Parts: sequence; C-alpha cells; structure tokens
Amino acid sequence: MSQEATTETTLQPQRRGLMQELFPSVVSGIIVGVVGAVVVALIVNALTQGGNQDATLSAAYTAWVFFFMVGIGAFNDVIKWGFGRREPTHEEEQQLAGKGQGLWRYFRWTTDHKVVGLQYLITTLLLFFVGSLGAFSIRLEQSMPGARFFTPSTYNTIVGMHGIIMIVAAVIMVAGPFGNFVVPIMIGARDMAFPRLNALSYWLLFADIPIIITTLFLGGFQTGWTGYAPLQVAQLTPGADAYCFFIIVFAISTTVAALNIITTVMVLRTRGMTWGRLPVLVWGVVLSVLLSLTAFPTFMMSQIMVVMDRVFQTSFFEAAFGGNNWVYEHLFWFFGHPEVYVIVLPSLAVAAEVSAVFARKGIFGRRMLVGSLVGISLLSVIVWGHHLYFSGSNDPLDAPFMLDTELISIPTGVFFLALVGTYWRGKIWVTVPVLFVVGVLVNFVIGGITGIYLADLPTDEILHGGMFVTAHFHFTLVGAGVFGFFAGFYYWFPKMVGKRLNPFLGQLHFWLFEIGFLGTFISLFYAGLIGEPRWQANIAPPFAVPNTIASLFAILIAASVFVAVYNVVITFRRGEPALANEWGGKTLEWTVPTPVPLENFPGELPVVTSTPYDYGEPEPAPSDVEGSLESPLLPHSQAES
Amino acid sequence: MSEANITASTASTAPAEQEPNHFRRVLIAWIVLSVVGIVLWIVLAPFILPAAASNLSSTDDLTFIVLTVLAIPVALFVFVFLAYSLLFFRTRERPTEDPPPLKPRPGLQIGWLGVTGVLCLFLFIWGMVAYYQETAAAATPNTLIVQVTGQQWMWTFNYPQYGVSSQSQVIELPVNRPVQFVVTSEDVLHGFAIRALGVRVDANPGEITTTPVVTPTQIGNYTVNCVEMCGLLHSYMWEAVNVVDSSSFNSWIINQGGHP
Amino acid sequence: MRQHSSGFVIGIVAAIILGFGFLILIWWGLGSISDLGSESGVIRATKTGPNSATLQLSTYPDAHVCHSDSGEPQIDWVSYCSGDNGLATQLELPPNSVITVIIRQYDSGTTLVNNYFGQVRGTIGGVASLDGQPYSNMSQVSQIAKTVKGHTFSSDPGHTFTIQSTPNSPYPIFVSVPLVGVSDDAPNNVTINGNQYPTPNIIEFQFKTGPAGLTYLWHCYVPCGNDRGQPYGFSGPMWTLGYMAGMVHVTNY
Repeated sequence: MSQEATTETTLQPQRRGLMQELFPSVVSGIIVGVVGAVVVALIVNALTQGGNQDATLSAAYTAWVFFFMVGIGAFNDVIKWGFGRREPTHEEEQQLAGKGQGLWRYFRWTTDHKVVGLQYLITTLLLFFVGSLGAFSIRLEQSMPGARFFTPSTYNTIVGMHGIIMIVAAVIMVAGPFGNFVVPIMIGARDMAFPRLNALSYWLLFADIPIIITTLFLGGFQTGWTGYAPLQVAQLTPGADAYCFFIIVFAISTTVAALNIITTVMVLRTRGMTWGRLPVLVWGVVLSVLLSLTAFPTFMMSQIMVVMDRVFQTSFFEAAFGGNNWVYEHLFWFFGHPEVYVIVLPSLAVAAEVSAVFARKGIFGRRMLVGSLVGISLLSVIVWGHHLYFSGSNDPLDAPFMLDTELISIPTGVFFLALVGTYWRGKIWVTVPVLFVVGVLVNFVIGGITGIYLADLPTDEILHGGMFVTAHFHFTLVGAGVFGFFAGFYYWFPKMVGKRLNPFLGQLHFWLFEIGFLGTFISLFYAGLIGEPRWQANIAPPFAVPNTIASLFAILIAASVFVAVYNVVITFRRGEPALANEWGGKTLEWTVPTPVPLENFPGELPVVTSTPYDYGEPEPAPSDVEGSLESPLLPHSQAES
Repeated sequence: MSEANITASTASTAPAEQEPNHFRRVLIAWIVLSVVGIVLWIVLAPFILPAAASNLSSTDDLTFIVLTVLAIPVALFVFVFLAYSLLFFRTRERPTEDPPPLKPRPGLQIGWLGVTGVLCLFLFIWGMVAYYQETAAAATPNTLIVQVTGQQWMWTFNYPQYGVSSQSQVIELPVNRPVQFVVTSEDVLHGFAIRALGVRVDANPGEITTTPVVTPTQIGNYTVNCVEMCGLLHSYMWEAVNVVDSSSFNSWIINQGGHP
Repeated sequence: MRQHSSGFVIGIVAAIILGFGFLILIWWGLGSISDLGSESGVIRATKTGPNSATLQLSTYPDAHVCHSDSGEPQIDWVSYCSGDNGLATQLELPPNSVITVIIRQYDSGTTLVNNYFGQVRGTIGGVASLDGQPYSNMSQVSQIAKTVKGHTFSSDPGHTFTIQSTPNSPYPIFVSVPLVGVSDDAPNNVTINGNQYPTPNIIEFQFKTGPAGLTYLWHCYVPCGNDRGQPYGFSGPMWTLGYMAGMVHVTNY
C-alpha cells in the first residue's frame, strides 16, 4: 500500500492514478481504522459475552486510533528506515514534506510544518463551527423557560459537547496553526525539530474528532465538559467513554506537539536569535506548551481512572466502595486551571505581536511583558484550589489558594501596562487585526476583573456554580482567547494563504462578534448575580429575561460567523494576492516570499542582529552577531528595549 | 506614563507647540469617568443585587460592592487609554514613518507593581477578614441544625432536634436564629446553595459537609437550588426556603409531626 | 464605505440562512436519536367526573411490556407503563381535580438508601392503600394482612411514585408514595403480553391538582437501575424519561 507513493521519484512526468493518490492518505487511514475498530470490537464483544459495552467501546476506540495511523502511513518510515537501519535521504525527506504533491499533501502524513499549520487551521475552524452549533442550540433552549426544544438529557449532552469541543479547539487554536506555520520561520529554522512527530500530533487530533461525535449515538454524556466522576462513572449507557477517550487521545497529541515546539525553539534558533531577541509570540507559545506539559498528563490520568472505574469496576471515585470524588476534583482542576492559561497565553502573545506592528512602535517594556507571561505561567500551577472552595475538601487551604489566585492579577496588570503603553503615542494603523486586539484587551479586562470576584471567598460564596462563572470564563477564553486567535488569523492569513481578506467584511465580523458577545455575556453575568445556576436545561421563571436578552444578542454572534466564513470563501475564490510583507512587520516570516518555499529561506539561513521591535530606532552599529542575552547596545539611548 | 517617562529619541523632533498635552487629557478623562462610574454604581447597586436575607449575604453583597468600586477605575484605565490612543494617534493609511519609541522607566515599572501589589493585598485581606468573620461562629445549643440529603433530583430535609422531616419541598427557618446545614448526598455530587442566605456547599456521597452558621435576618420566601451538575433533571432540583417568625416556625414543626 | 455588489449581500444572507438550516438539521437529528431520551407517549388520566379522574400505572421489572422494541440495555430496564401497554413518559391530569392513582406493582423490593422515601407524603389523608388496606410508612407493611392466598409483601419498596414541582411553581404539588415490593420468592403466575410476572401489589392513593397550564415532574426515588449496586443503581432507567422519570402536565381535556 505504501510502497508506490514513497518510492516515486520527484521527477514524475505523468499524473498519478487516483488509487495511488489515495493510498496512503487520510482516506486509507479512515478505511483501515474503521475496519480495525470493528474487528477488535467484535472480538472483545465475544470475549465479554456482550456484557461489558464499555470494554467493547474502549477497545474499539483504541483500535480506531492505532489502525488509522497504520492506514495513513505513520509507521511506514519506521519500517523503511528503522528496520532498514539507514537515514532517509534528502529527497525522501522532501517527499515526506509534500514536495510535488500539490493539494494532496494536505490529506497525507506530511511533515512540512507549513502544511501541518494549515491542517490545524482548517481543523480549528471546523471545531469552532461544530462547537458554535452547540452554543446556538444552548442559547435557543435557554431563550425561554421550560424544556422546549430539547429533552433535558439531549440538552445536557449538547452542553457537554459544546464545552469539550470548544476547549480542545481553544487549546490548539494559536499554537496549532501559528505555532506550527509561523514559529519555525520566526526563529529562522527550516522546519520543526521533529517533523514526523508534528504530523503525528495533527493526525492524532484528526482521528480524535470522530470519537466525540460517536457519543451522540451512544446515549451522550450528562456531566458537562468537566466530566465529574461519580456522575460520569454511574452512567450506564456507554456515551461517557467517548468523552474519556476524546481527552486521552487529545492529551497524547498535545504532549507530542508540546515537546516538538519546545525542542525546536531551544535548539533550532538561527544565528543571532538569542533568547533575548525572540519575538513575543514564540515566548507565548513556548510558555503555553510548557504549562500544558504539567497539566495534560493529570487530565489524561483522571480520565483513565474514570475509564477503569467504568470498564473494570475499580473504585477510585466511588464512595460506596472506598473511593472519593474529591480525588477527581483535585486531579481535574490541577489540570483545569493551568489549561485556561494554556489557552490564553498564546492569544495574549499574538496581541502583543500585532500591536507592535500596527502601532509602529516597539512593545512598551518588552522584557517586562515577557516577565509577566512567565509570572502568569508560574503562578497558574498553584491556584487550582479556587475551584474547590465549596467542595468541602480541605477548607484550611482556601486562604493560600485565594492569595495565589489574586496574585495572578499582578503580572496580568503588567501585561496591560505593556500593551497600553505600546499604543500610547504610536502611529496606529487600524486594521482588522488591530480591532481584534482591542477586543482582546477590552474583554480580558472584564474577564480578569470578574475573576477577582470569583477568587475572593465572600463573593464566590454567592457566585460559585452560577452563570457568573460561565460568563467569566467566556470573557477570558473567548473574549481574550478566541479574539486573539482571530487577530492572528487576519494577521497571518496573507502569509499562509497568499491572499488578502476583505477588510470591510473583517470589520463587520469584528463588530458583530464583539457587540453580540458583550450583550450575551453581560446578560449572563447579571443572571448569575441574581442566582441562576449553571447547566440549566430548564430556565426557571426568575431568570427568563436575562436569558432571552442573551439569546437575542447571540444571533449577532451567529451572523458574525457567517460573515467570516463568507469572507474566507470569496477570498479563496477571487481574493487579491497579498504582498510578501503585507503589514510591514519585522519578524522573520515577513522576509520570506509568499508562498513560502518548502525549506522556508531561499539560500542561507538569516543572521539576526536585533529584536524585531526596533521601530523608530536608529540603525544599530555593527556588533558581534553572537549577541549576549542583553539586547544590542544602542548609541545614545538607555539599555532596555 | 508621564511625559518624563518618555526617553529622548535620537530621531524625534521636538513636540510642536500646538500639540495638546495628551497625558493630562487622558488622565482627566479617566478620573472624571471613574467618579461618574462609581457614583452610578453605588446608586444602582441596591436595584441590581438581590436583597440580602442573612448576616452572611449582607457581608457578601458589601464585598461585591467594594470590589466593583475598585474595579471601575481599573477597567476604565485600560478603556480610556486605549480609546484615546485609537482616536488621537491613528493614521488613515499605512504609516510611512515610525513614531519615537517609548521605553518605560524603572520608576514606572516599580510604581505600577507597587500600586497593583497594594490593591491585591487589600483584596486579599478584605476577603480573608470578611470570610473568617462569616465562618468563625461555632454552633451553639441554640443553633438549628438542618440535615440536607441530596438525591437525584430532590433535596430532603431533616430536623433532628425536633425528630421530624420536612413533608414537602420546603425548608422552614425561624428568623434571627442561627442555623447550620449538614449536607450529604446519596448518589453523585450536588451543590447545595441558598443564594439569598449566602451559603453554599457541595453534597458529596459518603462525606458530610457543613455550611457556616448563618442567621437569617429577613422574613421572606427564598429558594435553594443545586449548583453542581447532577444529571437529567439537575435544573429542576429547586425547593423553597421560607424564613418565618418563631411562632409560625413552631406551628410548622407541629404540622410536620414533630415536637418543638 | 465602498459600494458592494448585490452578490455580496445575497452571499451574506445565504450564509445566514444556510447556517440556521444547519441548526435546524442538528436539532431534528438530535431529537430523533432515541438514545438521548426523546419523549413520546402521553397518558391521560381517565375522567370519572367533573372534578375527579383515575390514573392507572404499572411498574415492571423489565421493559418488555411497553418498550418491546428497545435493544440492549434498555430492554432489561425497570419501567413504568400505563396499564398494559402505554408509555408513561408524559402524564396528563385534569385541573382542580382529585386524582386517584392505581398502581400495579410487579417488581421486587430494594433497600432504601434514604428513609425519607419510606413515608407516604402529600396524599389525601396521608395514606396509601395496599391491597385495600391503608399504610402510611413502609414499616407498617408487615402488619397488613394478605387477602390473596400465598401473596407476600417485601419489607422494602420496589419503587416510589413521587410527583415534585418545577421551580417557582404557583401551585406546588409534592406527593411521594413508596410502592411495596413483591417478595423475592413470589412465583410468576401472571402473564402480560406474553411476559411472566408475579402477582402484583395493588397500591392506591389520591391527591389534588391545581390550576391548568402547570408542569410537574414524576420520578422514582428507589435506585435499582443496575445490580452493580450503589451508585450505579441511580443511572440507566432512573435517568431516562419514560422509564423511571417523566413529566406531568395539568391541562384541560
């Protein structure tokens, strides 16, 4: 199956047949994966005499992922070069990176980081779309009292699916597309440190998506995105296993990607690209993936323990058999809190990156900004207990957790100082990316401040478990996270795709989204303040009015989605070609041509002599290119930059 | 970010005489809007927040009001500086030359860290003091004990001191008498929450958790709901909390079959 | 603002319509997947006068009688049915009436986890009758004489029939009756629709409805959904509308 594709030479004159194109590709991956899953499921079903649906399903999911990888050709290299005990030749590596394969390279096990970046981008947008359908269903149901459109169990499943799909999409949304496409070019490398692991991380995510869709046909899951243990374990229909496996496979994908990104940035920076000259986006992505390395293993373990409780009837979380649900809560939130910073840090870094370019001014206090991102990352690991203030677990720890949580506001404040100072007295070219950055800042102020209410024990006492919490995390994850993603999307689209998105539609997208977003979630803040709990399939009469208002504003958000989709579609069809340096940015990706060549830099790798934020600075004196951690000395001004 | 914090740049020209003092203008806008915002908030807060019906929830509401008073100038700082920058420092087309670079002085950075640090410390100390005041009261023999059991999807209530259970979906409480809720669950996690009284605690299977001792101060009808996702009918897990005077409470106990 | 072709506008409108079309499709699709608990089956109490009606229900130890087209695992789930065959997902009762509920209880008993539900509450007179004889608590069941030869009662309830109110209901109703279980060693000597069950316990009680237009919930509070034991007993049929939980509508008919 794999031999024809990999042994073809690059000077292939005639068109390849359809079968040759399809094998190996995602199509063969799906076919082999489905066949493998069905066969294994039948075997396990026979072994358990049909009595343990959870076991059958768990085996089926595992087999699906494994055989999908076989079918897409993930193991071909291992077999060919590992057992053959030789290194791949340069031509073979280029072949694997998609050279000469045209658009098919996006549907194959391709190692080129630019291909993987675009694959992540399309998948992220698709996940957002599916998640938004869940969101609009939720707002539809909550627009009026009573369980009118969906039964409560369907609604609960929709809430859970919206949550977990959006969380997964938000975790990958900046590090996936831009971390893969842009970061290697930004640091002056030709590809990532582990190109084949790059393909692995993407295809694991791709194989993961059908797993969560199957829950719809297996009874759904009733727990919401947090998957709290006694409820998740008790569920008899097997839809809950889909949730657990969705997370287990995703955790593996993220860990692989994280190791790849960290190694790339540590080892493959070009000459002169010291840590002190690194663009802020790289800092944001690296800190985010480092944080995810602490967080995701715990998430994965918690889900493996739930699967064991369900399949093997262990009792990690079952009080009746000696377990305890607080164990699950601590494991989950030890992951869950750093995870939101995994989401937000790259978006904040994008905001900083974009601000410098469009204000034509270096980031105000660049080292202070990087320090604030580091401070946020470090603090975020020790605050998880604020989710457990009223769980009954370990009340004496409430005070230290409250202190740590409130301390995070200090580096966050420094971040705002840096960005406000960047815009102050700049020459601001207000483009669509800038609009989204302004959205990030406005929304993150509101999100961050409302977090203080939840961190403070007396106010959390009236707000915990209510819609105030929901509105707070939407303001931070969507308002700052997703808006940051869109800032990066509009900013890097001309480089990734080579075409110019329509700016009028981009502005329309922003305004519809921001106004709809503010209206929806400020109404939900109010609903939470007057006491509405979360996860309400049935809206009780006292909360009807704010919910109706929120649903009306959500229509604007829906409209903004379609405006954005329309923009992308017409740009692909007949968009203007973009300039190689569309915005006048100074980071390395704007120095390469568009479309970016296979090995990124035509000719030799660049040598870096300064940070990319030296707008308005005089030309630096020629200095030793092996610069120290300090930024290069300027003739007249002070040292910091 | 005063004028003094902007370092001299080698390429800049001296500010034109007509150029307004941006920093002073934005500072005035910020101060004026903050004052207006705080006054508006203090006037409107009693209409926005639900009535506090216990000693705990009045402290919680006060904390909410104080936090918002502090939040308004903090949020406006970002909004006003950003809005001003976008209005007065924007260019219509791609700019052709760079403005002078701005670098923060160490004084600004340390001052900023100091102010935010003090704010943060104030929030923490307020929160700790308020919370420990609320939770310090221990149960006395006078404290009414209500045992709460959560089970999908209803709360059931026992009054062990009177040997009686509530016969329907109601908790009856006497006003001005301290009460403590002792909570557990039969099946999965539930969240026992009475918004108006300012108490909430999770109901865990196999564990017993307690709320702080709370004294209802206002007669009225309130609700207890479930704030932790517990399955199919989670959103219907909702019962009444009636705070009445002591003689009505005693009659109610007798009606349920107990002896006051 | 530049001029935009009408194609632009049409494109935007089409995108919005397409998106909402997607939403409707998802809603319809989700609603039709029965595993997620779609509702069907409306049972009306039979009117016996201008202000009275009778509701007949049965509780079975499996779902063969009124969910005979279900597959695994639902076919093994305990279920509430109406009489011999109807699905009991939604009950309709007339307003301002005395409702007499007659339940044929075919299932064996399960130890209560919460003794609160061993008490009869909210019925007229505070009692229910078991084979014609009154009881107000499970502890009294052992005193009740058996009128049918060889008919024994379990000391545990098989189920409860509990009606509870929706949030902020203008006319709250709370009725909870433990349905006495059939003893474990009772022989199967009744055939319903080709399925064998023991002689049922006939439990009867009455309560009053209020004004029309209100909704309530009915739910069983004896977890026996799975013989893995606690807490698994709480899921399965206990979580699925039409088996051990459903809605009650008070309407005019």
